[in-house]
Amino acid sequence: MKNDAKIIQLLWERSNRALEAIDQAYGKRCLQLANSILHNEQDAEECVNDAYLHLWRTIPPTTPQSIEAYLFKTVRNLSLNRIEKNTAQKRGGTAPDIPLHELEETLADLTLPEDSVALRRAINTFLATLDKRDVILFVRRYWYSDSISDLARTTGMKENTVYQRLHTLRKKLHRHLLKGGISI
Amino acid sequence: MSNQARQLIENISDQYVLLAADPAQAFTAVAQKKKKNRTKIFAIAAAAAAMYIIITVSLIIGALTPPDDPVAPPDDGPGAQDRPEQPGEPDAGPEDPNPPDEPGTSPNIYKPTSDQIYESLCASWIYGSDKQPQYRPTYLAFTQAQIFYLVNAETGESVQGTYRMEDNNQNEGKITFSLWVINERQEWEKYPVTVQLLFNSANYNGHLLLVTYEDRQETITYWRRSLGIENFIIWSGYSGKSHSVNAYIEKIEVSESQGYEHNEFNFSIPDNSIFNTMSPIRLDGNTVYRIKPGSYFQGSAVSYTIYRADGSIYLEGKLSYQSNGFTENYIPTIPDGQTYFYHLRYTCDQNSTRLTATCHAYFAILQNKSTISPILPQEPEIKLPDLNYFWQHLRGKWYPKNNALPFWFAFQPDGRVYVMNTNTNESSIKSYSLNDNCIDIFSYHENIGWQRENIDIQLDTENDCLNVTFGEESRQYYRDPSSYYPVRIFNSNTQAKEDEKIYNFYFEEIRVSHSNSVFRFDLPDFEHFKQLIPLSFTDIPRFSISRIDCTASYKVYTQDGILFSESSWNPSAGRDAIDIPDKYGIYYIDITYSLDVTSFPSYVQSQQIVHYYIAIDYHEKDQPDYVPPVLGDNRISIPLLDCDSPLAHMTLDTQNALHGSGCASITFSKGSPVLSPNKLNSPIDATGMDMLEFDLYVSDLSLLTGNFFPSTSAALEITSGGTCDYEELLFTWEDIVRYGLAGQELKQGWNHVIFPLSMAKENSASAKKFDISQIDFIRFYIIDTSKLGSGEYTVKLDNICLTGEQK
Repeated sequence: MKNDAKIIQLLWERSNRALEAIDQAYGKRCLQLANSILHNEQDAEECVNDAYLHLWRTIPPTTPQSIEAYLFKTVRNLSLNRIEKNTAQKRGGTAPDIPLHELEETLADLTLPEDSVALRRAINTFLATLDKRDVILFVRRYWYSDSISDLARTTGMKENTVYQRLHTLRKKLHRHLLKGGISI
Repeated sequence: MSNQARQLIENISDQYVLLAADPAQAFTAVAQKKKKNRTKIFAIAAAAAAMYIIITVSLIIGALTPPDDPVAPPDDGPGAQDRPEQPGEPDAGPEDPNPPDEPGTSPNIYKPTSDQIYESLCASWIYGSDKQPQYRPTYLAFTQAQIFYLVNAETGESVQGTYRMEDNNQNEGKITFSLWVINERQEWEKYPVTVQLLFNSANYNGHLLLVTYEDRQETITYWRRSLGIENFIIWSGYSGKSHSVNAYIEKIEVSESQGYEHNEFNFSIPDNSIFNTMSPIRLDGNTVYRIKPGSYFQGSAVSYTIYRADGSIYLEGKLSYQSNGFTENYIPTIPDGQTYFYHLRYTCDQNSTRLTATCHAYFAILQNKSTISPILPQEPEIKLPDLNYFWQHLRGKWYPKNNALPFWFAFQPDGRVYVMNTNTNESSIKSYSLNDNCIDIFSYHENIGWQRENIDIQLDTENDCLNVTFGEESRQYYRDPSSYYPVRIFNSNTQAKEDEKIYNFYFEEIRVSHSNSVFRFDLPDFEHFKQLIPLSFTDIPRFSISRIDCTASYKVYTQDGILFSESSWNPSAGRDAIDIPDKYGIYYIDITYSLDVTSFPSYVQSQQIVHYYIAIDYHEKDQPDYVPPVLGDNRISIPLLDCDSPLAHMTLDTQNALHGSGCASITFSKGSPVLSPNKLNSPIDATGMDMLEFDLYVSDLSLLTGNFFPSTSAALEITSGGTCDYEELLFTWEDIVRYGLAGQELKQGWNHVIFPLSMAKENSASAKKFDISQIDFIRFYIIDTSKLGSGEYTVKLDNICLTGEQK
């Protein structure tokens, strides 16, 4: 939070040091996030730089509650956009294997609402029902796109256990969405 | 790529994104938390008694439409971010999401916590909406000190008073507040304005206020000022504590040119009458203040003026933000002793919105004055259950199923209820009222008075549970199986039922051991102690505490935190007493129970240690002059010992005798046993007598604690065997203190002892028993003086008699 305040201040002052401060505080993890999605260091670096630029342009007037979350979301969105763009350019080339694909099967028989409020409610109420460890596992896998091996290393679980756990969580999500009135 | 999956995951709230931001740290934290949960630590953190009034509010610097311009702030202006339907940037600009909604709520309802409600409300609000073109120069401001201001910016007229939550109807996304002001008769009356805080959209987040002017039957919308958020911090150089304050925005002016240039603005200093309507910040007992703008303001320049109460300028200056942070931007210290008004001017260059705004904030530091003391119109009527009903239905500590709500309750028979917030581990003492099995909880706020808590509790006696509704959540509460047993405090002299007080003690802390390891328990500081149960024992000379089925140890602390005594006992072997002399005022007792709870399924593996804190407010009474009791006509007494003449091992005190010309005085100190045998000149026949009576003087009250001389380490003995230990009747000091002073005020100085012979211990080194018709020896002794402190102690005896009914 302290860093956030300082960064926001620097951004509002239009100080060049703002980007240095952002990079120092979050650069490494931004790069890690982008790389997890893109599996390409050069693309990842470009996405992170684009994210910094986006922050520079949007703050002010925007004052996000958390610079960290705002920045990570930006990096993630830009990275996913980059993947889509790359895949389209290849015309028939295969998209890189990203964890979101695992969710496709879970959501295949469901029609999610277009209303973002309902979507937000659906996913966040689901996470609220999980214990913290599962929340982190789920978010790391599908939001941060961590690999199974990375998750196994950080959690101390076997890779197979992580895989099984994620499978269970996806099934839970499916049940939750069905129960919440998401139509088949 | 699956768009559905991406859309869904994109909507994960910041809370969870940040939770998982650092995987190694996050998983470690989870592991530690789980470990911690296993140990079941529930801590009291006393917070209630307003150690300091911490007012945390934001100063909102907002853009304002010009007075003659009916249009709302521009869409791309800084104020737009709080308005509904703010367009985001789907590719890269995630909008600020809300905290996740709890399961079970209806769609489109943002469900704020209690803190969030007040955090949202306590701000400055401005009239304006693109749907309501009529301009009204009114401002509303709410502070967390429960004060509201309604100001007409054109005329300078203002109204101030207090407000309270009337209806928390979160199902409809509306929280209604009523406003109260003091009328000419100096009574509180409802102000004809009702305020509804809207939470009915995830985008609003409490940033809309529907203000209904009842006299005009008109409802208009107010917007929260949102150009920036500012916390002002007042820092006390004396206590080192900081206070965040809600500065009242007096006025905001925006350039008529919409800020394309950096215009100058005229701003008139409000006169004293306006100052007096502002939010006073009272910091009693502190000496100097420093004021620091909070860390979120992004203005290009800040200047300040501090005025005295009479309007004259005390200090003015200018702050320029350092690029390395804000810490050096304290406004110089302000000495204690006067009322100051603080005027802060911001010039804010909003390049991106081409809007230049100046915001003026005022607040007053009011030292040692209390001009505003809003109270609720009436105090709650408290109805309590009778004791039988209480112990049948309300005993113990209550917790919610699955911990779904963050509150635990422990009701007391005397109307107190302890409420612990399990999220923060803080607890507070409140009052409750039970009416037709509906329980209302009230809390007392300084400067405000009693306020009903927004929580509904219904006692279900059939199912032995509580149905608790807080906001939209309704949960059943169950009794903690380990909190069944009451702690008794009773008068150990009389053992009288009417003197007994039974408390349903709130568990200060419970730790469950998995390893039977040593438990550490920190003594709370005095501020913490002050939150504990004050038990007044004005009318009871001594008290005892007992509990069954466990082993217990206790520590008694004086109010300055010094350990007074400690011991342990096995309550299952019978009642034991902690005797507290009426000497040091308030005592705090930490009782530790070691309780085998293997029979409780929820705590299967362990021994449980429960710590209670009990504060005993012991008022020292003025000791009246001691008058020896006069025996009734139908009683006779037989003097055993003539205390009016010199005796072996005793000093004759002729100055302080109660009877005759002197009394027996014994002075002793630590390490020096006392033995004062006296062979009587001729045997005394006391046949028919059934009581031993004498006057007893003690120089120090600690001698009269029950186990100060335990067992037979000190006693008065009479024998018929001509010497000690033969044909003996023993009155131990412990028994004398416990039974001999029955019905009397325990006190330092003279006491009258009446001791039934039937309760004395018989003892003999020979086969022959004590013969009451041949009493020929009397001895007072103390053989264990190890507990004595430094210095000398004195015991005096006078008029030692055997008494009984006259035949």
